[in-house]
Amino acid sequence: MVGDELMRIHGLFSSRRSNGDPISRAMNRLIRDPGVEFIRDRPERSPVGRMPSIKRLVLDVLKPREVSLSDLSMKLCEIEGVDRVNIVVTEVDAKTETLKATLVGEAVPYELVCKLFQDNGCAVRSVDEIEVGRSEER
Amino acid sequence: MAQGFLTMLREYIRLTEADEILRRYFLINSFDGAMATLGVMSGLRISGSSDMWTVLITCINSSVAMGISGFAGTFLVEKAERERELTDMERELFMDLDDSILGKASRAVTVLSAIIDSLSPLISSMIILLPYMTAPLLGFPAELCFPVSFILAAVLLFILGYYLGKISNRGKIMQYALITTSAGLLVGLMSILWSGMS
Repeated sequence: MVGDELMRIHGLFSSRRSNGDPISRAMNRLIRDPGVEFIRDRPERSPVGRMPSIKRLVLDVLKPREVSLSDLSMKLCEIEGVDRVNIVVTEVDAKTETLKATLVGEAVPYELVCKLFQDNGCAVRSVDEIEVGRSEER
Repeated sequence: MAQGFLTMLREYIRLTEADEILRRYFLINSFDGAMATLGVMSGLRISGSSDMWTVLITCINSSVAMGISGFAGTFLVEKAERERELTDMERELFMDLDDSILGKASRAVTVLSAIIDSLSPLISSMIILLPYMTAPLLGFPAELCFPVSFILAAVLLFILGYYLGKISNRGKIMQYALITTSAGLLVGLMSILWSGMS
């Protein structure tokens, strides 16, 4: 496969520079093999599979006052991929409270978080901050 | 499973802040049931229909009627009130709350209120009618049924008043208990007066 060949040539190239012309040989092989195969091959040959995921999410949420803040934060922290939850009440109205909810984790599942807020009668108004990073493939 | 159901119900009651209204329904209707049973029982005694089965069937029938009326009335009233509250909240949040925990809590508490409203008069009526129900089984004289039931009704009313006094949290427990018991005794006094007139 093209990936294997390239790795082997890369090794030859770095350790034994004087032995032949590895670059031209690699180029010849690449020309002979279709590039599509190389592209298809690439993720499998990657030494570590790294997928992007949400590491930190800050949401602006409107919550009915009846819904307990501690219960809500506990439920959020029970979601797989969420390690820490921080909720700050930024505004208090007669019937509602505005929250700034910060969720930190290895892979914060945005859809699940929004669904949980909705199930608990809260409206997610906006995503105020988001931090995405690559992490180990699970 | 039952534990989970109770936890969920408690959560719904807390969310809708329904504990106060449920307690109110229970107390008002227990009091109503006790007074109505006492009234029917006394009325039958004055009219001379002291047959145990007649008393039992008439009193149970009246408390069942009160229960059905309570269920239908409370269900509709609570449904309307809770739906209005939910709609107000939906307007505040700009979202549909039917499938949220608030919507579920609202529906559950509506049914729970109706059940409590319908069962409470039936329960207090059954307590008062215990002598009538157990007399044939235990074999004690039918003449004793009315006085024993009357005492039971007075005790029940006293307990309800005592509980009300405790809720008020103002140290007026005996005052409440005496008022509720006096209401029951007034029904008894009226029956004596009626029997004297007839």
